[in-house]
Amino acid sequence: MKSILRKLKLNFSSPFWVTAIPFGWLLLFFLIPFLIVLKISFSDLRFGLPPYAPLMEWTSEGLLIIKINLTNYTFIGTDSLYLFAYLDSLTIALLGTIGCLCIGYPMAYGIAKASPSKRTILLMLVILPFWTSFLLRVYAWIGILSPQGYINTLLINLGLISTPLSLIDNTFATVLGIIYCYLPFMILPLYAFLEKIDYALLEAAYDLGARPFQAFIRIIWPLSRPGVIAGSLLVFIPAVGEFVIPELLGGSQTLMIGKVIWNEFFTNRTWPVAAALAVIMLVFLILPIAIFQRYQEQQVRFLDAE
Amino acid sequence: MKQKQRRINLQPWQDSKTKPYIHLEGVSKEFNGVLAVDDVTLSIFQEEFFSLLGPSGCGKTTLLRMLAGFEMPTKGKIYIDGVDVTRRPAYDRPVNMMFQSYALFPHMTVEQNIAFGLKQERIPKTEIQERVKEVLKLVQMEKYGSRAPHQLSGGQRQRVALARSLVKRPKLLLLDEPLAALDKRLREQTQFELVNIQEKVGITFIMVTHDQEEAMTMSTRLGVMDHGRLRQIATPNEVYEYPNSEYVADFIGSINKFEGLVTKVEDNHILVDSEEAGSEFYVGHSAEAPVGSHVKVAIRPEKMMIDHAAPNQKKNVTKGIVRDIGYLGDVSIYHVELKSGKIVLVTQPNLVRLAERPVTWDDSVYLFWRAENSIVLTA
Repeated sequence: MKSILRKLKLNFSSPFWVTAIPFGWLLLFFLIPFLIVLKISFSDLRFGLPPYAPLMEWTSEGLLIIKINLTNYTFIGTDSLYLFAYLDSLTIALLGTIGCLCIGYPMAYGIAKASPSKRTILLMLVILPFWTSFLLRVYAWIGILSPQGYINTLLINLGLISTPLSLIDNTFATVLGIIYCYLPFMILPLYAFLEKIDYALLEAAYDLGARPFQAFIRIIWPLSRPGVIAGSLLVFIPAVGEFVIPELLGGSQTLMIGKVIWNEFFTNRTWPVAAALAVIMLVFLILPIAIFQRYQEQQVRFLDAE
Repeated sequence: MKQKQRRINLQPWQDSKTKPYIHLEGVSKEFNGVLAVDDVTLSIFQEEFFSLLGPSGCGKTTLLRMLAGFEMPTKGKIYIDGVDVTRRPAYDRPVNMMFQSYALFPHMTVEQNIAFGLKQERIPKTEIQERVKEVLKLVQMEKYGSRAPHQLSGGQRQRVALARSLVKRPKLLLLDEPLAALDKRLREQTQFELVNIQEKVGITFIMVTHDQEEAMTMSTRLGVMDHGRLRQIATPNEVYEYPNSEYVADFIGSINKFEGLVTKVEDNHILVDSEEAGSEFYVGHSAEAPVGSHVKVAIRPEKMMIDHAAPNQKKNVTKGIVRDIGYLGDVSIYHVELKSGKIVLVTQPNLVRLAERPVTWDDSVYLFWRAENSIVLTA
């Protein structure tokens, strides 16, 4: 059996096969779907099923006609609604990422500095919200933020305000929702990097005359930067395309690109335009992913050298 | 060599007029109700190379960390150059430390690591560059300034760590097991280098070590610690030749001890009758032991002679049978069993080749020593 495998060059422990599994996964579930979306984005709109025309057609004379329709892309350029949706998405995702970083960094630092027995419990608490449905947790925020919600009721009963504050159906609520939902994705990579830092370095910095704040800025922060980048991208990338949170908490005011794509697909049934919107969004996101990739490579090199 | 001479003559601790440079006054440190350092009073003088020696967990590192400012004493005061620094944080003390793990900043080059402390003082850039260069030259690392720490060998990292702690010209340099991470050969070589550097820069060094050889070769004086207490503070030679307690005697080198009864006290001798040794001893070191008291007489193995023929001295002689010989190349260690069953260690230099060695297994031998080479242990 083995010799047959060898003849067929099917050595499953060879580097080729080890990397083949993740590559195969990416090919099947990322590249092929993306190519399908790309194909749709270049096709004509038509009524029927599917709601777009094929790219390639054989005519009765045996000619192969390939039609690439770029109007879906030019159409997106003409309507400023799409541009604003993109900008809103990027802004909201950026605010959410900054919020996650501001809250997540001290938390991750605290967990990393806690005693090992406490660390396990604290990490469990970070992951605990995942045990309930994502949708349910976002709904819960409606109960907290709505005009009849807990916050407004409390403030009115305390006599601090007379009319309810508009806490929901706006950008604020969307950003809040994103911070709440994506916080663990910030904390976990940050913790992983902060935990690795040798805290004798901090003592060495104090010893050399650095006050606690300076020691943090010059030692801990630069050493935790790969964690900051990893965490930020893990929050930022999915947040840009987020659909559920702006739908439930953002109201009609917030127009994020995820919602626009949803509308194009399901309300307008203009699949080619929706596909083009998705392709453009992906191109936007490739940039931060590439940066992330580069930093990770650097980190690997750094660890190899150790 | 000249400098060495100066050091030997210069014994500030002998001179009551010299003011101590570092002074610890009844310093104690408690961790969750456990005393790590117990009422330590210690004076260290300028340009001394002082070692704190003791087994792990004896409190020597805690004492060092209190000097650095990483731990605050529960009780007592710490003075550096006459200034009370007990409550000052680490970043506000004229003290630098060389860490056991070296604690080099991995994201900075060698030069940046060394410049770190100077930048905190807001020293002009050109001066920083000069001082970094100077200190790199001192530790012979001029060529490695732009390397990252992970590109250096263990010995090179050790030098960088030393340079980084020296560049601020502290009043006191603390070294936490500075050579523990190096292999044996490199360690022996570095011991002398470190002493030479210390003499060159003239900074007071306090080193923590568990390695007695290291402490003996490098220090002007050393303090032997046990369970948070300083058991003896003396020069390496005094600690070895005149240990003040059984603990110190056992901790440094090996030693033979005989229990006995004081039978006579003379001007500078006492006479001890030891059943364990099967003979009478003259002890030539003044001891505070009255007639009739039980004492322990201690003799270092290399201070004992071994021979087949009886020596012409009546006291300080005993007989035994060679049970075992440890051959170490330069010396041999003879395990001699006395009549009482006690095993005595005798170290002799191998003056002749192994085959010609006069004393061998199961020989009946005499052991003898000079009165002034034994001491009485009272504690």
